[in-house]
Amino acid sequence: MSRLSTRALDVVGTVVRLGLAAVWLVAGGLKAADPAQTYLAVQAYQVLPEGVVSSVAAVLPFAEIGLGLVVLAGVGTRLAAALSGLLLVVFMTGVAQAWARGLTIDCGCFGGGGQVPADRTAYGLELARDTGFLLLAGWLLIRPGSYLGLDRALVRRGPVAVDASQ
Amino acid sequence: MGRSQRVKRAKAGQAGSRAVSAARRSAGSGRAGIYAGIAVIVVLGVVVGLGVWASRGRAPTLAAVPPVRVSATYPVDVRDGVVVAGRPGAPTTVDAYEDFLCPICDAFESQHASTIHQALTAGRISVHYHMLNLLEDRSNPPGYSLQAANAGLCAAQAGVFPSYHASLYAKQPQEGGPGYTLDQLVALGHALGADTSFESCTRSGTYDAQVKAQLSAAENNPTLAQQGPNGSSFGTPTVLVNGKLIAVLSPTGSAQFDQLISQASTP
Repeated sequence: MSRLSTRALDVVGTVVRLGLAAVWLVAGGLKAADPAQTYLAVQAYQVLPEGVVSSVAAVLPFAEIGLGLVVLAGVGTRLAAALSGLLLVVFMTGVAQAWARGLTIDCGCFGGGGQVPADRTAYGLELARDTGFLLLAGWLLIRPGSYLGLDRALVRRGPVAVDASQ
Repeated sequence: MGRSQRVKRAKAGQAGSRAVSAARRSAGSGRAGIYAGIAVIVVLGVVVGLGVWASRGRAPTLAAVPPVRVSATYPVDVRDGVVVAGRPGAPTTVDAYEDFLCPICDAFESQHASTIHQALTAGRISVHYHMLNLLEDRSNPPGYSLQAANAGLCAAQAGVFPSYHASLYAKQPQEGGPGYTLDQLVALGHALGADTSFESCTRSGTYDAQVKAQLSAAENNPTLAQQGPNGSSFGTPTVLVNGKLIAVLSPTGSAQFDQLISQASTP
C-alpha cells in the first residue's frame, strides 16, 4: 500500500513541481519582456522608495525566471519551494496593503500592472490565485519527492548519496 | 559510519534501498541537500546577474530624438509658463494641457496636429500649450516630464517651439522607461537651430517653477476636471476650445474638435 501511495504522491509532486515552475517562468518572462511596464507595476504598490523601485523592477523578473528554472530542474526542490513561498508571501502582502490602502492597481503578477480604474481592480482574485500557488510551494516544501527531477538523480548515485541520508 | 557498513548498505536488497530512498526523499538534508542548496543559489545568482546585465546593456537610454521640422509662419510667445502660438487677434482660442510622457497626449497630437497647424497658419486660431509635469515620477529615472516641459518652454523662447514640440511627440518615450536625457533634449534644440540661450535654459530648469505652478493651478481648477472611472479629476490631455472643455479622447469629441477648428472663422 505504502509503495503504491508513494508513487501516486510522487506523480502529484511532479505535476505540482512542473506547475510551479511554469508559474515562475511565465510570470518572470512576461515581466522581463516589458521592463517599463514592470517598473510601473512595482512603483504602483507605493511601498518602495524611488531608487529601490528601479532595482527591484530590474531584478525581479530574472529572480522569478531563475526560481522557475530551479524548480523545473528539480534541484534543491525543498529550498526552491521555501524561496517560492517566501516570494509569494511578499507579493500577497503587497497586494493586501494596496487593497487596504485603497490604491487602484493591477498586481502585475503576469505582466501588466500599474494604476487601473477602480472598477478594474481584482485584489480578491489575485490573492486567491497566489494562495493557490502558495499551496503548490507548500506541497513541495513538505514533500519534495517527484519524478523527472535532478534531486532524485543525485540521490541515486550510490554510496555518497546513501551517506547523505544518514 | 564505517566503510564496511557503507558497502553493505550499498549492496542491500531492493526493498531496503527503496525504504532508504523514501526516507531520503522526506529528509532531503545532508550532503546531497547541501549541494542542491548551493546549486539553487548559484543558478539563481547567475540567472539574475545575466538577466539584469543583458537588459541594462540592451537599452540603457533612448537613441537621440529624431528632429521633426515644422515650418511655422505664426508667432510663438511664452507667457507665465504657457506657450502661446498663433497670430494675435485670432478669433478662436485652444487650450491644450499636455505632458510629453503621456501616451494619450501623443494620440491627440498625432490625430489633430495637422488640423491645428493649418488653422494656426491661416491665423484662425491661437493655441495655449500648457506643458505639465503630471507624470514626473512615471519615467525611470523620474523627472522626464518636467525636463521636457521646461525644454519645450525654452524652445519657444529660442524660436523653435513647433518643431521641438512635434519632435518630442514623434518618437515619445515609453511610460515606465527612460526618458530623453538633458543632453538629448539640448541636442534636439541645437539640431533644430535653437539660439545659444536654449542650452542654459534647458539645463538650469528656467521654467521648472512655472511648469509646476501651471500643474497645481490646473489640478485645482474645477472647470478642467473630467469624469473618469476614478471620479472627477484633472488629467492630460485636457483640451478647451474657447474655454469649453472638449472630450477629445472620445470619437464624438474628437470629431467635434476637428469641426470646431476647421470651421473657426478667419479673422
